[in-house]
Amino acid sequence: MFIVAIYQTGTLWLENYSGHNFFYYITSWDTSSWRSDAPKKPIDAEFITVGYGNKMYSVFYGSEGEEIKTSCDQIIKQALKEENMTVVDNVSITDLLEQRSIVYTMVYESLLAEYIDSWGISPDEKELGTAAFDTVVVLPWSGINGESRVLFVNSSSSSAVEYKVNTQKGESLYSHIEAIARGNSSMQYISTAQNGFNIFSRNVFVPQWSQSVLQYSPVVKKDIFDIDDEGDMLSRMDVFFGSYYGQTSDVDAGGVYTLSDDYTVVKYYPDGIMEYYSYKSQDSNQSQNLYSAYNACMEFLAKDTNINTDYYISGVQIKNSSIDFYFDYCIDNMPIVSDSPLMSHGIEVSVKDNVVRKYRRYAYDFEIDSDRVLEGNVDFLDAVNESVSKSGNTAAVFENIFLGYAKDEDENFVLKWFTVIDGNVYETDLKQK
Amino acid sequence: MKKLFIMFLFCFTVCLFSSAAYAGPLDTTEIEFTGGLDFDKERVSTFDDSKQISGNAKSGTVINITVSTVNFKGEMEEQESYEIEVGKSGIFSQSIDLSLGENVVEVTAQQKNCEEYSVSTEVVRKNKVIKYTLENSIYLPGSGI
Repeated sequence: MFIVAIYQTGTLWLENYSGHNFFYYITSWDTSSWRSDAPKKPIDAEFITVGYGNKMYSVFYGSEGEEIKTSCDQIIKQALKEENMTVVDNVSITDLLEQRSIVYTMVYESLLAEYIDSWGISPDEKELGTAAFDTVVVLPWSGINGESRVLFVNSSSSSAVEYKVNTQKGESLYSHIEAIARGNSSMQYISTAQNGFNIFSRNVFVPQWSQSVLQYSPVVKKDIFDIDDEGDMLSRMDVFFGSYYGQTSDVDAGGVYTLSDDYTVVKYYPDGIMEYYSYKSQDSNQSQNLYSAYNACMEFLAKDTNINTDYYISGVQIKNSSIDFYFDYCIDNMPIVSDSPLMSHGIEVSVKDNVVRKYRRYAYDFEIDSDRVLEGNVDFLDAVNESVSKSGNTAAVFENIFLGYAKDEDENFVLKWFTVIDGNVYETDLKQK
Repeated sequence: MKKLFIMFLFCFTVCLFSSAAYAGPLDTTEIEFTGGLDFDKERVSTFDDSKQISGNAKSGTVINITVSTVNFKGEMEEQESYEIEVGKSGIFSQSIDLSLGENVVEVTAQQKNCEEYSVSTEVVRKNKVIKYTLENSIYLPGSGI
């Protein structure tokens, strides 16, 4: 009886009845609710900043930063693999930026463990816990000990998880930064934090130019689709279907062109917006996380061969059943601000169950009009002062300021300043009238 | 006559102690440097060919920055001059170029109805070749480097 009692107690504790045993709440304690077995991809930075170590910077949007990003990613991956990790409290971004550095400014604060997993590396979840980051700072080797540092910084808590790695790639990245500094254009960036501009709520990299006047070329917007040319429309849209067969096309009274089959609908509106919807059910049991959704998003975007203008990720929204990614166009390392009243971003992608379910794009190409040269004489301080006047608040706290192409009254895309105060965006012309 | 004399003496005494007749010193222009150069130091060294002088001051303050070097005659010669008027944001920022060798950077700030503020520092710009040499050298104990 005694032996039977022990046996029965043991089975009660250790066997999985109704899916759990006595130790369920201990053994199932798990921070990896984000885990997904689907293919994943690390999310790209909104922009990449290269610091020369003299408080001057260059900023790269989209594919302009691809070369430096490739070098930097190699160091990040190696650092994560070697796991020589410490937690740093009270991180000062201004101190970090004193050295030559590469800074990835991310659009979304995400779990570090999840990010590491997206590299195909198994994270030490017990050590990392719920550590999150919104900025990655890479400090390549700068001395004889050959040790590069990678910091995953959480700006809101001023803390970071730091990895140290000995790699020859650090030395080459250090030299690469020097090469960028030597070949730099007339436009460089400064850090608001390093300059003590306490009117900014966070560090912002602000462009400035060495001459009194900035010379640049405007941008023109070009149509891609011609709904009167059905052959052209079909050839452009077949990237979403894979073949010409089985689709039906229609142009309604409002001029909306629709191409569809049993599972996919693609629409093109006269105002230049293209929409894609997929209704195909998926059999996959693979759960979705931020990085698997991003992988699905980027694979989809790579297939849209109609996109000829560079773009960068500008937002992420996690909803109950889907994750939405937002992108904006960029050209010549400058963002292009959408002029569409219906789309605040150039590209919107909604991913559910690791499949793109909805895709909207402001379907135009943007090109530099190199035949024309414009001048701008309003620097960032002038833009800041004008924004303070417009806001009527002399104690205004700035969330952001950037230079970008936007449409003017003559339908040209010219450079303008955009400042954000309390969620309100103020626009300032680059040319003083 | 006596009354006249007393009246005069009274008025004189009032004027002597009247705060209206007393001219106090002007306030000094307020300015705070938050980046670029440390003006508390008489002399600083740098490898940079330019500096970003930034700070805070009241709106309307006029700031003048001059950069001078010593010419072959041994005289101070102005190389660059910048003038900034602080806007409503209260911040200012100016990039200044530095010549190799000794530079004297002087900043004056003038706010309305205030005394002018003035400060200067010497900035020695060193050749970047020295920096590269230092970065790429290997230190051996006892090498005397």
